[in-house]
Amino acid sequence: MSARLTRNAAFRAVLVTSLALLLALGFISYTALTETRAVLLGQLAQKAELEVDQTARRVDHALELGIPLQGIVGFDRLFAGLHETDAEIAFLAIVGDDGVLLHAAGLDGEEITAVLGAPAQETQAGLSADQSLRAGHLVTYQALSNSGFVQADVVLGYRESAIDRPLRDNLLDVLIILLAVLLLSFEVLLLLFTVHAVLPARTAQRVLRNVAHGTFNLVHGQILRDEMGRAMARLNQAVRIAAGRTTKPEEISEPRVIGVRLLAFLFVFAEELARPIMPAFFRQVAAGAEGVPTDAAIGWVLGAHMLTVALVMPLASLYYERIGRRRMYVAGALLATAGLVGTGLAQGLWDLIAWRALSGCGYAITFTACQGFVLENTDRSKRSQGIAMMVGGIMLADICGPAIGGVLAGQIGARPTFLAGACMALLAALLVSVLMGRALPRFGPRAAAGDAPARIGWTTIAETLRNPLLLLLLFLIAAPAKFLLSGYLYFLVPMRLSETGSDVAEIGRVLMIYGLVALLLGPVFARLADRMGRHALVAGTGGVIAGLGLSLALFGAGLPVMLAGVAMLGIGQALSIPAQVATAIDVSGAAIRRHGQGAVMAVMRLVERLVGGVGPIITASLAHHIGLEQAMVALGFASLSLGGLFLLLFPLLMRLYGKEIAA
Amino acid sequence: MHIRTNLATKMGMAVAMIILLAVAATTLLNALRFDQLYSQFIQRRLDVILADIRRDLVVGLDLGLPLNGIENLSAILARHERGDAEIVSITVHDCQGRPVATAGRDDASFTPWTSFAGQESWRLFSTTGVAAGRRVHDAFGQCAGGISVSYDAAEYRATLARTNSLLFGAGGLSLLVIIPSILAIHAIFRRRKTVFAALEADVDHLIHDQGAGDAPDRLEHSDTDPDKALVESYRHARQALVRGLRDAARGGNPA
Repeated sequence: MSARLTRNAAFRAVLVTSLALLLALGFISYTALTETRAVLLGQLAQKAELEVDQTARRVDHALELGIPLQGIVGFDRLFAGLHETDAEIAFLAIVGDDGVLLHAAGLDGEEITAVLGAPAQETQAGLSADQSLRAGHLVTYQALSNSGFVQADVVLGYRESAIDRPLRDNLLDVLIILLAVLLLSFEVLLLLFTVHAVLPARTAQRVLRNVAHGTFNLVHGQILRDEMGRAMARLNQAVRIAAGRTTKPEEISEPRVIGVRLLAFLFVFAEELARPIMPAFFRQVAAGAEGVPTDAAIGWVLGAHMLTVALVMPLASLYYERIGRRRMYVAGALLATAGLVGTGLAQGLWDLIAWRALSGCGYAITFTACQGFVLENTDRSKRSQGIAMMVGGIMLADICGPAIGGVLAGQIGARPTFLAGACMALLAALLVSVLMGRALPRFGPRAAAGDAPARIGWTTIAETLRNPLLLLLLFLIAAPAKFLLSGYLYFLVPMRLSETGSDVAEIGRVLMIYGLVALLLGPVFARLADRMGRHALVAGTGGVIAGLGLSLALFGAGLPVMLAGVAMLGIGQALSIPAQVATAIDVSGAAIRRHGQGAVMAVMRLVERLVGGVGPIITASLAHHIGLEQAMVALGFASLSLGGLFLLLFPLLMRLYGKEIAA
Repeated sequence: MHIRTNLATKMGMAVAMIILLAVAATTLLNALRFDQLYSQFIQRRLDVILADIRRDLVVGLDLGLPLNGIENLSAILARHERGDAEIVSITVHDCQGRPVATAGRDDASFTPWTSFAGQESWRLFSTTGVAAGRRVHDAFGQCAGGISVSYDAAEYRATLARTNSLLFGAGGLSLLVIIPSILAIHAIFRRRKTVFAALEADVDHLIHDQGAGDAPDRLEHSDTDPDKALVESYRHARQALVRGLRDAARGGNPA
C-alpha cells in the first residue's frame, strides 16, 4: 500500500467504513451462528433420538424372535436405509457393555471405536443424557431392552457437518453481502469525494492558474453549499471585481464523468441480479412449450437477449445525437424495467423470449447512452479514463449482481428476483438527471468528431472485415471468447451446478468468481501485455488458458472443477481482452485512418456480440445431444484449438500481410 | 431553505447509510436463513416419524387390511406421539381426508391434511400451525389413506420469536459502530473547514482592504490532496489577484 494512498482522505474514509462494516457484520454473524447452531443441534439431536429408537426397536424385534445379537444379519441394509434419507449419518453400530463393537456400518470398526473413545465436548446444550459431541460427530446411544443377559447399545453417529454445512453457507452469504457493500461503499464514497472535493478543486485550480497569469475572465461554476463552496464564492467575487465592469467572466466547471460509473453499475446490476437463476427459471417457464426441447428453449431465451443487444446497439448509435443521452438512458432503463417485469411474470416460452428481447433492447440503449456520455464529456487525453470509469461500474455489477442475486433468489424466489432487478433499472432511470448532468459546452455533442458513439455502415463493416489479420483475431480469439462467456458461464455453469445440487446462492458465488478474477487481474495483465509488447501472443494465450479451464470437465464437472473452470475463464479473458483491443488497433492501421478507431472497434464488437448471442443457442443444442459435461469439454477443446491455431497462424499472416495492412 | 453541509457531514451521512444498509441486509438475511433452516430441520424430524409410521401401516396394508382394519393403529400412533415431546398430534386419515385414528392433543380447529389430502407429500409452516403429511399406498399402488403429523406450533413460534429478537437486537447493537465511524470521518476531514474558512477570510480581506501581505501560514495546512493543490494554486495566484483588485480599485481593467 503506497504512502500516497494511505494519505488520501477518500481512501481513509473507505478504510474506516470497511473496519466498521467488518465489526458490525462480524458481531451479527457471530450471534446468528451461535444461536442457529444451538437450535439446529437440538433439532438434530431429537431426530437422532427418533432414528436410534427406531433402529433399537427393530433389533429388539429380531431378538424377540430369538435371533442372537451376534447373529443379526442385514445391519448394513439398516444403515443404508437411514443413510439414504440423510447423507450426514456417518455410522450405525451395536456396542456391547464391554465396549466391543458387535455390528458396525458406515465407518469401519476402528474409526467408530476412535470416535466413541474420543473425549466429549463440554458444550452440550440441547442434547439428552445419551448424547454427546465427540470427534466431530453427534453420538446417540440407546440401550436395547430385549438383549436378555447381554447389555448392549445401538449407537448412531451424525457428522457435525450436518449443522456446519448450512451455517457455512449462511456465513458465505454474509461474506457476499460484506464484499458487495464494501465495493459499493467504495463507489459511493468515491463518487461523493470526486463530486464534492476533487472536481470543484480542479475547477478552482483552473480559475487560479488563470488568475496567476493576470487574467480575470474565468470564475468557478461549481459552487457547492459547503466550506469550499463559500470560499470559492468569495474568490469568484474577487475575480469579478478584478475583472472590472466591462468584462463578464465565464463560469467554468469540470465534467462529472464519475456519474456514469454508477449508472453503468445500475443497469448491468439490474440484469445480472437474476443471472444465477436464469437457466433454471427459463427451463421452468418454457417447460410447457410443445415440440421444443427444454435445453434448447433455455438457449433461445438467453440468446434472444444477447442477440437483441448486439443488433440494437449499432441502431441506437445512429439515433444518439437526435435523442440525446439523458432521454436515451431513461428510455433504455424503462424498456429494461418493462422487460424484467415481463420476464418475472412470463408464463410461456414465446412471451419469455419477447420480454428478454425487450430487456436486451433496454440494455443496449442504456449502454449506448453511457458510452455517449463519456465521449461527450472527455477529450481525447481523458477518454480512456472515462471509458475505464464506465467499465469499472460494469465489472462491479458483474461481481455483485450474481452474488447478491443468488442470495436474494434463495430467499424470495426467482420471479421476485426479476422484479427486484426491474426496481434497480427503474432506480437507474430516476437517478439519470442527478448522475448524467448537462454536457459542458466545450464537450458538447456536436463540438468535435468522435464525441458520440461510432456509427457504422456497410462500407465500414466490409472494409474492416477485409483485413485477414483482424479476421483471424476476431474469429479465432475475440468471438470465441464471447461465445464461451455466454455459452459456458451463462448457460452450462448454472445448469450443471443446479444439476449437481448447488443452491442458487452457490451458483451466484461461482459466477461471481469470473468478475472478481477479471477485476483483480485485468489491469495487471494489461500492464504486462503492454510491457511485453506482444499483444497477439498474450491474446492467444488467454484463449488457450480459458480452453484449458473448460477442458477440466473431462475429469468430472463437480463443484471444484467448475470453480477452477470459471476462474481460468476469468484469467484467460482478463489476459486476452485488453490484448485483443491492442492487437486489433495494431493490425487495422489503414481502416482506422479511413473510418476512425471507434468505427473499427464497433464492427469488431458487433461481430463479437452476435457470436456471443448465438453462444447459448448452440451450446444448449449441443448439451441436449451430448450432455452438459461433454458440452463443456467440447467448448474447452474448441477454445484450446482455436487459440493454438491463432498462435500458429498470426505470425505467418503478419509476415505476409503486415506491411500491406499497415500501409 | 438552503442547508449548508460540509464534506465531512456528507461523507459521514453516506457512511452511516452504508452501514445501516449492510446491517439491515445482514440481519434480515440471518433471520430468513434461520427460519429456513429451522423449518428444514423440523421437517426432517417429521419425515422420520412419517416414514416409520408408514412402514408400520404398510405391514397391515400388505396383508390386505384397510387402514381402519389395522387393529393396533391407535397404539402405533400413540407410541410415535410419545416418542417426541414436541409432536402434538398424529392422524391417519382416509383418501378423502376423513380421520381414521388420532393420537395426541386433539385440536379440531387444526386439521391441515384436509387441504393437502390429494397430495403425495406436503408440509405446512405457518404461525397457525406446523405439520407435514404423506399419502400411503396399498400393495397395488392405490391410495390407502394418509398420515399427518403436527408439531408444537407454540414452540415453533417461540423459538422463531426468541431468535429473531436476538438477531435484531444484535443488529441494533452493531449499529453503534456508526458513531465512531462518523467521528473518524470528521477527524479525517477536520482541517478542511479551517483551511477553507481561512481561505475565505483571506479573500474577503483582499476584497475589502486590498491587502498585499503574504498568504497566512494556516493556508498551508490541509488534509486532502485536491485541497492541498488548490491552496497551493491560491498562494501562487494571490499576488496577481491583489494586483487585479488594486487596479480595479484604481479604475483600471487588467483584463
